[in-house]
Amino acid sequence: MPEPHIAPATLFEFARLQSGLDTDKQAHLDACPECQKKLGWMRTMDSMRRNEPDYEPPGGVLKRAISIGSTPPTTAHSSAGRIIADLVYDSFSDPHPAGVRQEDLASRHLTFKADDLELKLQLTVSGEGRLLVVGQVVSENAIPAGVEVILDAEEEGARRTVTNEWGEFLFDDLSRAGYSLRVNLRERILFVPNLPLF
Amino acid sequence: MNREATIEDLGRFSGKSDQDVINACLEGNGEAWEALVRRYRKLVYSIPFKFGIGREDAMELFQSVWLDCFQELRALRKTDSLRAWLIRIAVRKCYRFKDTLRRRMELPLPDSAEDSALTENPSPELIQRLHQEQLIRTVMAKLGRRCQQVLQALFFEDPLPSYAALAFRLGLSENSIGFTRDRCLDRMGKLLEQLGYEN
Repeated sequence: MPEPHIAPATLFEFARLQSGLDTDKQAHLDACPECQKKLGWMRTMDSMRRNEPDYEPPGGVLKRAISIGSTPPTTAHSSAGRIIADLVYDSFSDPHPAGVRQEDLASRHLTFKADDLELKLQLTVSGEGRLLVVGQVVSENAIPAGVEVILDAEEEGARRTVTNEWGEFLFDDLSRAGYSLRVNLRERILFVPNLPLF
Repeated sequence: MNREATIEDLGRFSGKSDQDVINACLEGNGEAWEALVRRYRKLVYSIPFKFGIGREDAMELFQSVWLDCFQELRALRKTDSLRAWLIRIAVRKCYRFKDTLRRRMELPLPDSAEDSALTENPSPELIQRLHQEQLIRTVMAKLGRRCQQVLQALFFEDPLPSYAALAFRLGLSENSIGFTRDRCLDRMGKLLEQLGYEN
């Protein structure tokens, strides 16, 4: 194998600027695993230029992921206690407070309670007959931010999302199938077995 | 200039191994968890895009991967490579997301079973590529500030700045830029080698 190794600057220019190599250097490169390795990582790094800025998650998204670790993982998810939420308000069956007008029948408001937790849901049907679920989890102790919410449908499988800093979450473009909903609070799971639809 | 250098990791956890950081997380150290998320944020966030998934859904998948990671921390304490675990979980979630989307929209199956964007077990090339990119990020974060600035400019700026402009920006003489560049390229290569970078 011809010596010496190809200079790092030459390899860099070859990787970044696609400058050609002279015959001797090309012959060396073809036979030299060490130079091939250097050129390999330089090419990978060069190819990252176009997309790398897009791979920085937005600040709010990063903050939510960081907030997941704000409480210690004391209990494994699988053994977390499940508490069934009670339906305490349903805009379709409960009377509206005095002065409040009848709401649009395409939108249904539900409130569930369990222990110190309150789960508010607004279910809306779009013009195409698809379902939108907007919710908020509130606790007397703290706002459950960065908490996983899972919507299970028998046929469609699970859809998952995470609450924002206000404990809010959203599922869109749902079919009007039967759903159950879980809010995974790590130390316990708030569970709505049968979500009333329309 | 180099955001990677300033926010890649947090204070006292910046030089710690994944295992050390995971152990601190299990003791309830929120700073450790933040360091872990920051360390692998680009790796996890990049994967949905490689599957052609849009930005909004990529954000949800990002959260979902970190939730799984947090819930599995005890098991991950014994994992050889958190990086490999994160890649596996994120790839699986992306596959399932795309599969669900395809079924909802009643799209036809991909022509080729080799289509890695719709394969739960993606091509070894994609996996290797993800590892390579993360190793490069990790090594960039380990470099000194001067080398970070030089390599960031040389590889990630478009158009490539002239050496005169780079020297001016860094407060160096133009004559010394070539030497600094070579030293930084050499350092980068050696650190990648130490961490097991493979072509």
